[in-house]
Amino acid sequence: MRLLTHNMLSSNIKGVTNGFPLRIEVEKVVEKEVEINHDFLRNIFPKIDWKAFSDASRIMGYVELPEEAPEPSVLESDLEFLRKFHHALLELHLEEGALVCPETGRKFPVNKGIPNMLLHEDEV
Amino acid sequence: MKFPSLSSFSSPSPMDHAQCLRLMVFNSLRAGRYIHRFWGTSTLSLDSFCAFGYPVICSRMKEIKVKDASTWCTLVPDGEPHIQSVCEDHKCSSVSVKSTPEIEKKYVHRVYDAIAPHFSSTRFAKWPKVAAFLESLPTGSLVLDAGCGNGKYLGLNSSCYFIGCDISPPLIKICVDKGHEALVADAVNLPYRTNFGDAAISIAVLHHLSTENRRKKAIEELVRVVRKGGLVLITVWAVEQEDKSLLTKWTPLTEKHVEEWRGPRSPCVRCPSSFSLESIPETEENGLSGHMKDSRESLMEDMQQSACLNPQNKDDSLVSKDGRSQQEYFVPWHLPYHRAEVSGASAVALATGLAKKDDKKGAVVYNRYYHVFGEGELESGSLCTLFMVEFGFSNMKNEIKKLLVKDTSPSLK
Repeated sequence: MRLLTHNMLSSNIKGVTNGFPLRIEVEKVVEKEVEINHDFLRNIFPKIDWKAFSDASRIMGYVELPEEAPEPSVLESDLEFLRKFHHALLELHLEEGALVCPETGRKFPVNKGIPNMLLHEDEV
Repeated sequence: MKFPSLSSFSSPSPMDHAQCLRLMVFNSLRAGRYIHRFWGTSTLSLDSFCAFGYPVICSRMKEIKVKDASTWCTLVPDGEPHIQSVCEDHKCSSVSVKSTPEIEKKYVHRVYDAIAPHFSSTRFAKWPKVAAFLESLPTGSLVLDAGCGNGKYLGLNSSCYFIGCDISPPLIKICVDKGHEALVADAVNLPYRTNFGDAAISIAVLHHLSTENRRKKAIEELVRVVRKGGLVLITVWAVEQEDKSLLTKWTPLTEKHVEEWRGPRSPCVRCPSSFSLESIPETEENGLSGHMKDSRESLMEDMQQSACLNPQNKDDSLVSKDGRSQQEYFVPWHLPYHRAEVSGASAVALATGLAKKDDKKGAVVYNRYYHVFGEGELESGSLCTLFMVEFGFSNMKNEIKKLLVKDTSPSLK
């Protein structure tokens, strides 16, 4: 699971008001290189909840991202920032661990990079 | 911005709507820039559409909409509405719409889990209209594929970010092994934040949901997770099939299956007596060998040649003896012996009666539940405004497509 995906995921358990962001429990992180696409990063940037993203990257062991979201203009010219953004967003994978609902504490397992977000009968 | 003039579309002949692949485009006039971009791309030009006359569709839609929203009407050729014999979730209010009915557990979830690698090997041909839609999306789009199966469409547009989800862990494993981003989730309860995606697709998925409310919920979820002005493409199998031989060995649901459907957490059935069809007896079919089929054959995998034993309607829809359209079916999947695990899911399925052996074909035969869609069924209760409809012919099984644009405001700018 990449952090871009994590930024989209929310606990959908019955009764939960705000299931985002899911807290990450790390057992294994893997880094997989993928080609950078600056246009893609610039288009994606406005959608990202930066605080959740930068917190998650720290939990995954990457400390290079600023805690505050940079101004969008930074993405136009700062290649170094784009590289870090790209790395945290797309190259860090949670292979083993869990995603934890912020309200109920329920753990959604992540195995072999695959989160299982299916709910039990009593959670729907 | 100006939308294309509706007068530029020609009306089809009366037979067209019955024999077709349908792409229905729903649009919000407030979608503005995003839609302009969508229509303006060369990969998805208006020339590729042969649209139905707008006023006719409008009236048909209205006709459906004014009916009692709690029942589900199918229109038979004489125009008289008949109540489909499926009870809706809201009549059994103790069961959540997000709770999986027994019939889906047995005849969708477990089947796909058991057949996943074989199924995946036959699912590689990309349907052109889905591909065109995905290729038309702007760079950096977040695309959600609900019911992604083996991930056939994930990453199709390399400038976009795809997240696939499916209820079947073995199928998701196949996606992830290919390097895609995918997770196990339920299309009726997507684990995504609201308004986040740019586009969503659900290709040949909703017809596996066994109640109207679940199908509606799944569509609502697709619309919920995309941003305002975002696009949703849905395809489902249609009732009307132009090729009679495609009707194959689909088994209409009978009372026997109704009993199974009625599990502890199942939707209740209103009128069991209205299930008046008998099972279509299996007939000889072309030999099913274990070799890899080409793409055309693989698309026809579960539409094998056999005589159609059902009386046919003028519009080629499947009609029961008492004149109602049959829309609930079991469609077989033949899993060759050499693919079925000996001590795994297939052995259990055989032991519990969910699958049976066919020694002549050397395959374990599973049944998959399908609700095939009638005309107008997808747009009933839609959250978006109808803009235009596309009809066309396909070399694949006839299906209905619906393209929605999310509109979260009733007013027009």
